[in-house]
Parts: sequence; structure tokens; C-alpha cells
Amino acid sequence: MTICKGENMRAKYIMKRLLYVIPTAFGVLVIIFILLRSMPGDFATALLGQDASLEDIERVREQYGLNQSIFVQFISYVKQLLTLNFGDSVIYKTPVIEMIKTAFPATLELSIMGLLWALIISVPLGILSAVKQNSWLDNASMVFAQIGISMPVFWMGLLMILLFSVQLNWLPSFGRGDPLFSALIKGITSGNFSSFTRSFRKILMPSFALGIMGSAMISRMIRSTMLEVLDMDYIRTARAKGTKEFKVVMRHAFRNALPPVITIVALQFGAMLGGSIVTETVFSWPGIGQIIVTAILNRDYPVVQASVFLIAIMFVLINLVVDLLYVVINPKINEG
Amino acid sequence: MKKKLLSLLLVSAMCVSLSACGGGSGDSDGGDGGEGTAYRDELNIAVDVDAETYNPILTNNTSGNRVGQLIFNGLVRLDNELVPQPALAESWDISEDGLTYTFHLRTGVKFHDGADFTSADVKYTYDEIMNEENNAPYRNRYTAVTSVECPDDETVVFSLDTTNSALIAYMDLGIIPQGAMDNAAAFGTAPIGTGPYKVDGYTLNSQTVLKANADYWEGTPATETINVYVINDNSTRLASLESGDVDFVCSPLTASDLELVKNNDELVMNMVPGLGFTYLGFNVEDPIIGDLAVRQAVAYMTDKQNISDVIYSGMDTPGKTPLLSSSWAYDDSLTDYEYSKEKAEAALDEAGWVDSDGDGIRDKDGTPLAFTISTHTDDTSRFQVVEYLQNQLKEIGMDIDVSVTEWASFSDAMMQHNVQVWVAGWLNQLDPDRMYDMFYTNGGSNYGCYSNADVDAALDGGRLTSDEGERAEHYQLIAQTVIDEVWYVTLVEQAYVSIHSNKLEGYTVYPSGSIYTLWQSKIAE
Repeated sequence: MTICKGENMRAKYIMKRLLYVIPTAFGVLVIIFILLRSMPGDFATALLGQDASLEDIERVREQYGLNQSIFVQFISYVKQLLTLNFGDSVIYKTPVIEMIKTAFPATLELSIMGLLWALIISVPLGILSAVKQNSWLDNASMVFAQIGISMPVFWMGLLMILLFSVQLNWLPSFGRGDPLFSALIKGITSGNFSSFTRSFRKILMPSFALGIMGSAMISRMIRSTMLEVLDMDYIRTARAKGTKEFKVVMRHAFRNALPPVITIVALQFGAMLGGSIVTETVFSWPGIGQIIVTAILNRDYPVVQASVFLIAIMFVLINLVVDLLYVVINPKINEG
Repeated sequence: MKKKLLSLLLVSAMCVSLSACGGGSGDSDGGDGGEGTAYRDELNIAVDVDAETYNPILTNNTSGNRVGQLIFNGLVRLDNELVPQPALAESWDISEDGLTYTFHLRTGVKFHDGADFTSADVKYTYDEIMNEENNAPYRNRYTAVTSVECPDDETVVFSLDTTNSALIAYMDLGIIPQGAMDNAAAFGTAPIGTGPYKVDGYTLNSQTVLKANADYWEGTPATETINVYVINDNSTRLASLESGDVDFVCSPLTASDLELVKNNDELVMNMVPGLGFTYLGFNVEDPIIGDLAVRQAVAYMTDKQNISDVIYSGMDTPGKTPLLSSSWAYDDSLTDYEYSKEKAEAALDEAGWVDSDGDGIRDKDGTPLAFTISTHTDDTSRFQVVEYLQNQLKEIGMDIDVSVTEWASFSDAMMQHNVQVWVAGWLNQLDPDRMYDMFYTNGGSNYGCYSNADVDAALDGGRLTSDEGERAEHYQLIAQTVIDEVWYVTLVEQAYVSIHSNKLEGYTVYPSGSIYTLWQSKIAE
């Protein structure tokens, strides 16, 4: 009986969270639309260039309906969206969805690698600094976190390029190779890893630059939750039972410190998806960030709208997944 | 367990990659160029923005234009002194009244897809430009053309309604095959031209692969593959050149970035006067800026030599008029305002702009001498120029506000005449006729609301005659008026810079930024 009730609550909670996505998505849509239109200038000048006559510019505005009221423009945009049509780029003339299809996997790949870097660095660092609280290691990791949070990624990116590409000539300075995953599969099946190696070397620097910021945040989070957990009675009990320290830390403490860490990791991943814009620019990574920057400068409305909307939705979905994960790992939520 | 697997994977991948690092830049594998020196079979160049489209009638950015020159040919090609040379047209005649242009086309030329090039393609190209629906950015240049006829496959006749001596310079526009505009989006990234290179692949915001066109009418291109990479960031672009990842980069490059590569022996830097200038524009319909004395005072306080030396590190040279000093129409007798604080103050005093309330700011009839200088964010040097002017003008009692917005906002304000004084630039001054829209009463890019009957007459006069001496006189009169009336203060004449590996052979720098000669270039191993 109680199990039934619990399951019911859980389903209700999940439904509720799913339904929240709809108004959030609509809100995002409205905000992007209004913000874009309230920026001075439109794509007529980007399309026609500086040599265009005023009549030509006026004609383009007429042609694309830019002279209509923002409300009318919004209604026709939503109508278009309801048929799952994101429109064509004004500048590129190609369907926006095609552009996103090319660029989004690049951003996703970069963000996943960035997250990997973040975890590789932050997990050991966070645990060690909690276990060795107030030691030199703890302090050093604190300094590292400060640097990671405050160092602008474009600056660090340039420094890395100067060191690893220009001085040492170890890594390529820009661009993306073949998609990493498919290159890996190809390598495994054919035994020739040259394409994978090339892609891997290209992604090392941008993903590290992206990951280092996230790692700073995550390692501090791990440290503080670990400190809390390490102070608990059951840890003392575990130690009293003579459990090996490594096991105490990893199995008893770290596992229990995980839930808040997962949240911050997920948020960091969302931030990486949306925040890789600068990294993409510095390393010429052909991702969604590059598309957004160019499209904003050109006032290519359909492209900005669709790309920003996509990132916002990804963020919302990641949050949703985290919330749902919580239900799984933390049964207390069922009662809440 | 999963984590273990992942880290194992990463570590092993890193080992593979590091072992591959030993061989230098690694990305570009060498090929064999022939006897003696071995040449690579690919050349890597970097551009600052994605081309967006390579379609010559739709492109509106430097990458589309520059790389497009390797893919397409125009009827003529401008050489490094901007003189039209035969390209797809072997020769041409211009009627005495200047209203009929007859082009005799080269025979045996084929498009990349094997189709023959004929006069119908020329007609198609120009008809499509004139078609308003296509929103061709350069349509304005060809408005004098009323019809394009093809008496036979090798002849094209352009009829004009007014004489326009500048037109021939614009005939370098790439010719597209008939039907190209049926699917403009696809054609933009998989274009078909008659040029030395064909597009083999395009990746958005990343790379275009060009392959040599073995049937090119002018000969076989020297290098099999040219990879065009998009590297937005100026510093990264230069770093990539230094690291050997790319072999060639060109303007826009900022002076401060150039310091990075100045002492690198492995690079060759070409710096030539370009075809652009940076100027300070004035909106003469503004109540304060409309006062000539105010504009003159600003002109006197603008130390162009200092701006050139300090902000542009001497790369861009002090300007005088929109008629560039490299132009055939330029004359040294044109006079400019000299830098003088005394003269600036005297001009203001004389016009009644004095500091009557002792607040350090001059005023007249209760109006303080305060205005805004605007510019855009894309060019940090321009921002520095504005800051410099703000300080300079404060010294003579002007209260300057600075407005810096990104290009779309800035250009919108400029077109709406919503700016008082602004810093911007003009590129591609192929012919002095480019001043037409800037200064003709109600001209398309007459952002400062200038109007002067003599200038209008001279602008028309410059188009109506083909006599170079007579044209030069007209343009000198315009240039001198622009200086005297302080419509524009021409700050600097822009340099065009290209930098390449010292192993690159056969490249000639063009002031227009054309990279056409790369088709004859090859790079030693």
C-alpha cells in the first residue's frame, strides 16, 4: 500500500517537472524574441552591406516583414515553430536546423570533453583537500580554484596556444578534426587511429580551457560536502570498526557526498554548453557559440532565436534529468 | 568501473597523441613537388570570418570576396595597380559616348562542372544582380546598366543610361553559370566557377577545401590543395601562423598583434597601402556640429601623425582626404588643417564659443559645447582614437561623450543620422567615384547630410568624362571641399598586411587584398 502511494507520488512529481518545461520554454522564446528585436539595427544592413541605398534597405525590411509590429512578427514566428520549422538563415539562406545540426555536435563534444577534464581534475583534488583539510594541499587547491574561477578563458586559451602550439609545437592551435566519437569507432574498426589522434589533439586545449573553470567550482563543492560527511557519526563508526581509510573515504564518505555534487556537475555541464562561446572563438571551434556570435552581429534573427532556444532547452532538460535523478538517489523527495 | 575505463581510454589516447607530436605540426602531410626543391601539395591559409556564401553576387564579406577570386573569374581582373586586365573578356571596346561596353569573351573556357562558359552566363550574372529580389549587396554599382545583350556566344554588350567611367573597375565581379541562383543556398557553399580552384568541401565556420582546377584556362595551379581555415580571433590567427599550422594570413590584423611576429625570421610580412581609410565624420545638420568653427577646431586638434604612430604603430599612415594618396587622381597640392591648439582655440573664440560660466566647458547662447563621438566595438583601434580625441578636445573646452556599440547598432544609428561625430572607415576605394554616395546630396551613404552644388556637379562630372586629367580635377575639387568644410577628417589611410611563411613562393601582394596570386604559389617542404 505504502509502496503504491510512493510510486504514485513519484510519478506525480515527474509529471509536474515535465509540465514545467512547457512554460519555461515559451518564456525563453518570448524573451529571446523581444530582446533581439529591441536591439538597434536589423539584418537589412548586414545583408546588403554599407554600399546599399536606403530604398534597398527599406525593400528588404518590407520583404521580411520587419516593418510589422513585434506582436504580429511573434505570432507568425510561433505559427512557423508549431510546424517544427525554425526558418532559414537570412545571411546563409540555409535552413537554420541544418546549421544547428552541423554545429551542435561540435559544442556537445567540446562540453563533454570539458566536463571530463573538470571531473578528472576536481574529484581527486576535492577529496584530497577535504581529507587533508588545512594542509598545504588544501590551500594549494583553494588557490587553484580561485585562479580557475577568475582567469578569463580567452586569456588562458591564448597562453595555452602560445605555449603548446607556438613554443613547444605539440598541439594544433585551432579548429576541430573529424567528430571524435566516430573517429574513435573508425579507429577501432580499421586499426588506423590517425584521424582519432588528430581530432583528439585538436580538442585537448579547448576542452581543457573549458574544463578548468568547471573543475574549480566542482572541487570546492566536493570539498565542502565531503567535510560535512566526514564529520558524521557513521564515518567515525566505520573507522572504529577498522575499515581501511581509503574505503572510508571513497565508499562511505564520497558516495554520500555525491547528490549535491551531481547538481553542480550538471549545472556546470549546462553552463559549458551555453558558455563555450568564448572558448569556441579563441580556438576557432566550429560550434553553436560561433554561430550565435556571428548571427547576433549580423542580426540573423532566425539563427539566434533557434540556437539560443536550443541551449536554453538543453539547460532546462539537464536540470530536469538532475531532478529526476534525485528521485532515484534520494527517496526523501518522494515525500516532499 | 566506468570511470576506470574512461581514464584508461584517455591516458592511452594521450600517449598516442604525444607520440604523434614528435613530427612537428603533423596536420599537413608533405607531398612531392617535383625535381630539386620538394613542395608540399597543400597550402593552409586562415581568414577572419566564415565566407557565409561564395556566390559573388551575394557575398558581402572579405572572406567571400577574397577566396572567391580563386573560384571565379570576372570579365576583367584588377592588377596590383588597379588597372583592369583581361580575364574572361579578352578585350573590350567602350563607345565614344561611354554608353555602350562591348566585351569579347575568351573561348574554350569551362566551368568546374565541365559546362562551357558563354556570353549567356555573363548576361545571367548581371541580370541576377539587378534582380531586386536577390538583394545583391553591390547592385548599386551597376544601376547605370539598362540591358545586357548577347549577339553571339563570345560577345556581350552592356548598354548604360548614363556614362560611368568607374564601371569598368567593377567588371571584376565573378561570373556564375546559368541557373546558379535557382538554389542560391546550395550554390553559396558548393559554388561552380571558372577559376583556378574548385570547392571540394565546406564546413560551416571551420574550413573550405579548394582543389586545383586542372583545366584552368590560364594554366595549372601550382599547389593541389588550398585549405582555407576560419580563425576569428586575430591573436589566434597569428599564433597559428607562428606555430606553422597555417602558412598565410592577411588583414584585418591589429598593430599590437603584429608586434608578436615582427622578429620572426621564418615569416615574411608584406605591408602595402591598402584601399581603405579611417575617418572622423560630422553630421552637419546637428545644431552644434553644424557650426563650421566647431568642426574646424576638432580638425585642428586631431594630430594625425600621433594617431598613426601611437595607435596604429605606424602601420596605417596619416590621411589627408578620402581621395587616397595612392590614387591616380590625388595631388599633393591638396591642403589639410595642420595640428594647432592655438588655431583651434582661435576658431572657437571667433565663433563666440567661450567659457562664460567658468565650468571649463565652452558655451554659446546658453548651449554648452558638448557632443558625442560614436564608434563601433569591432575595431579596438577606433575606440582608442575616440578616447584620444575625447582627451584632446577637453583641452580646448569641449565636453565629449563617447558611445561605443557593436557594428549593427552603430551603422543603424549612422544611417538614421542619429550620430553627431563618428569614427568609421571605408574599404575598397577602387575608383574616386566611390565618393559619389558619400558626398552627393541625399547620397546612399551620405551619413552627415552634406550638400554642396559644386560637389554634386563635380561628382557627376567625374562620371561623365573618361578623360583622366579632367576626372582628376573634379575629384580634387571634391576632396578639397571635404577638407575645407570639415565633412570628413581623414585620420589614416589603411595598410593592407599579409604575412606568410618564408617558404611560400610565387605570391604577390595586392593592395585590394586580392589573394588571386596564391594560385601560382607553392610552399617548400
